[in-house]
Amino acid sequence: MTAEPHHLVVGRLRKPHGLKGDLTLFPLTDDPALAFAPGRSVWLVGLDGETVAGPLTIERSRAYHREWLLKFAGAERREDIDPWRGLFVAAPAGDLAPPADDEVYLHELDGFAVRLPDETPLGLVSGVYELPSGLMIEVQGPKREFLLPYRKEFVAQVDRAGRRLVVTPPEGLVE
Amino acid sequence: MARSVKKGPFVQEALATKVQILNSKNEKRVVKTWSRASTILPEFVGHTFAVHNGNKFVPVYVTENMVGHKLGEFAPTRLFRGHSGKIVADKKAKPE
Repeated sequence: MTAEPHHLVVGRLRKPHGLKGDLTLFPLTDDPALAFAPGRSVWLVGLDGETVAGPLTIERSRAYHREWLLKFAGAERREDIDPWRGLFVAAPAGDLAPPADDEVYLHELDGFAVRLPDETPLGLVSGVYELPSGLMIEVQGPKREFLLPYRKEFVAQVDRAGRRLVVTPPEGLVE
Repeated sequence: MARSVKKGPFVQEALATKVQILNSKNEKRVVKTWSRASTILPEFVGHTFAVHNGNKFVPVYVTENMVGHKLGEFAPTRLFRGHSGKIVADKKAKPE
């Protein structure tokens, strides 16, 4: 099993909002109210995964249309926060809600073994896509890859510890 | 301009026939199609369509709230492969 990362990205900063140090943020977490609760410490990381600033304490936060507005303690002026445009906001994994029994982190799905209920191996998960119809996994089989909707109709069992999925693909999908 | 109501929704004839046959036999199997412009009819609910996106076939499991939309809406022609491996988001997946 792969090691748990210390920090998980919970959002991406977009741009300063107003003149009082607020920033708009696009959430990349399932529970933004928990991740952006005032008083929490977060870190700013770049696309290369390197920490740029932090720890920063969230002073106030609120939902704003499809995004969130965040204000960090000590960042009072627009000029202070302007260089943070486009950076990712990361929080310690321990501060966030752990996955439920049949849940997995999206980044963990890569490399999961995919099997039929009769233990016939189909391949390994090689990609995860968020499509308009829902989550889709790409399975790299021995001959070719195929896509499979990540739905209860087709994914019968998720074994996070054993890193495997038991699937029931519809007839004609796996050739 | 919207399509005339008199004509009804557009569905490729071959596709509608295939689904009709499957429904009459009470069978469920993947229906391959290139017809991205076909409208999803209520009879399609519960079936899985492999919709071509110009490169490969994307499986689309049809649910009730997809009725009235086009098949192509659910098979994007460009797939975002995500950020670099160092950006690990707090996103969880559950088969629903």
